[in-house]
Amino acid sequence: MAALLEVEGLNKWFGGLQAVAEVSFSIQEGGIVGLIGPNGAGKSTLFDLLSGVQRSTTGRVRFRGHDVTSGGAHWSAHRIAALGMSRTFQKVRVFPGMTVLGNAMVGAFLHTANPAEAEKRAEEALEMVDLYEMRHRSTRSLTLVDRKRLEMARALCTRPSLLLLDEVLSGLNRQEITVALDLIRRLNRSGVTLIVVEHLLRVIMELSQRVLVMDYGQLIADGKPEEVRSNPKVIKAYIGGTEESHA
Amino acid sequence: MKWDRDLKAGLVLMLVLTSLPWWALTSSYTLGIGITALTSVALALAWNVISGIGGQLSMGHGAYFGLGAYTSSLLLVRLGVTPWIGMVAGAILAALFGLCLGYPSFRLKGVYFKLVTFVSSLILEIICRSWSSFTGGDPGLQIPLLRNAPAMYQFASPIPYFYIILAMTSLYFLFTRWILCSRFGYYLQALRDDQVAAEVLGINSLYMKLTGFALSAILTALVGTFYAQYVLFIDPASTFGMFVSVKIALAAIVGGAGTLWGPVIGGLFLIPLAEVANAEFAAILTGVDTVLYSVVLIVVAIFLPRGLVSLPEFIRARRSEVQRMKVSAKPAS
Repeated sequence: MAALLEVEGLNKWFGGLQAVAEVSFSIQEGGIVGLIGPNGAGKSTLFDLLSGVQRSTTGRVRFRGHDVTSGGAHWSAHRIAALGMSRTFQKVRVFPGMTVLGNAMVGAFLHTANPAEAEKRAEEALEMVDLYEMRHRSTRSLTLVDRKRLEMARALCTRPSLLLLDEVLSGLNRQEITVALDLIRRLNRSGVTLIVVEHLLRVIMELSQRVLVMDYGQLIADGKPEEVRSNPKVIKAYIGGTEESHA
Repeated sequence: MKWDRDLKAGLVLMLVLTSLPWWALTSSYTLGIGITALTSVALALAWNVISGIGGQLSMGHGAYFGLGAYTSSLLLVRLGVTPWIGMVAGAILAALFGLCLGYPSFRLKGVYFKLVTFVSSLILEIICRSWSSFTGGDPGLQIPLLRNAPAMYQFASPIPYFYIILAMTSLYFLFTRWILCSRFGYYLQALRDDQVAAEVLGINSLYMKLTGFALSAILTALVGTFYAQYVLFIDPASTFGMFVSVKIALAAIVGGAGTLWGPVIGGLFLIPLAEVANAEFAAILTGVDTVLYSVVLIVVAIFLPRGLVSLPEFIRARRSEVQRMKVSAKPAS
């Protein structure tokens, strides 16, 4: 079976700084892949490269068989999204000028031009993340947790085959994390492959079947959670720091 | 078309406006004010498509107004083409100009795009002035008086003009309403709020912005032709001029950019108020309209940044604040 996502020798230079260095891995359909690493390791940059928000300096990314880095004509973000890759952002980006429902509808419009149908799909997605009751509210009145849920619902409306979650759990309390994890697992069961970036190592180990570890732009480990946990390179990368606690 | 509150209110307003020439706007002067008001509403609604809803602020919409006015007028004066056809040519030219302008500049950061739009109308103004053999230059272009010639877009009385601009404005209003509920409108607003987030949801930002810009240019140019045929005289300053661009943007912004009713309110009240004030005070103080625009803009910017259309919300917020203060015994922290 062809891989859903194939990354070969991906590099990103910002002037003299190498944010992503020769990263290569491949992901099959189904399953949850965790992506961890210290701050500044290049995880968000990697997401930017995969989703087309940034162009890679060199390297190749193949998504659902399509080469989205094809030479000079790197696919733009909207083409990659149309192909079935969706993402959330580390710093939540909801549309402030629209309601909760409006935000979700923007995602739904990827697969329909009919506003009534988009509204229906948006409402379904909002129901899944438990935001249906607040659908007519302005995003200004939402808490951080709700905004994160909205961003997820909005991404879901695009019916992705691959969803990149960038630190959706940061800022959440224990209870909220449990709810979020349940949602992530439900999404996975419904057929969405996920790459999840998180700082809570315990959570990632529990959630993912496979873990990628980045440090200084390089992929230093790739394997099952147990293997990665005891990998000396990974331990060294986190040296001096314990697993981050949350408020 | 959902039969909702906006549509009902719009219909009532249109009926009221339709009746005005029978009881309120009975002289040429008052009809003129009414026509000016409606023209401003139409232009504000046109500008609103790309700059309000789309959030790509254009400070050079005079370019499209002028292109509409000059294209139809030159076709008429030089080739005898009826302005009804000239109007279409003007709209096409305006759209092309907008596309040529937008294609390279939409990739630029916000402020640079605004500068490009601002300069674009100035450039057209200069070209218009210099190429006087073709355009009539600084002294302007006179449209031959035909009195009553509907086929040539001219009427003896202001009343038909009033109804033409009322019809156009109503159509622009319906179009705006449709956009706001459509995928196109949602996409424009998403781009306005956060382009990167919009792109990862599959929105082709360049294509959407160019489409919005072309539509806005077309709608503006059509009003330009109307203006030329109503006033029967155009010159570079009154069409391509900076002040034209600013007035258009101001009416929409003061009323409430990005909304359905904002441009309507802004156009109906601000522009005629300023013009009348200017005329009344002309003997005592010149430039009263400019002063008025500035004062209104400052007041709105401070108290109602989302435009006059947010006034009911503002009052409600103040009222609940007063309620809260009355109810709570503790002083506000």
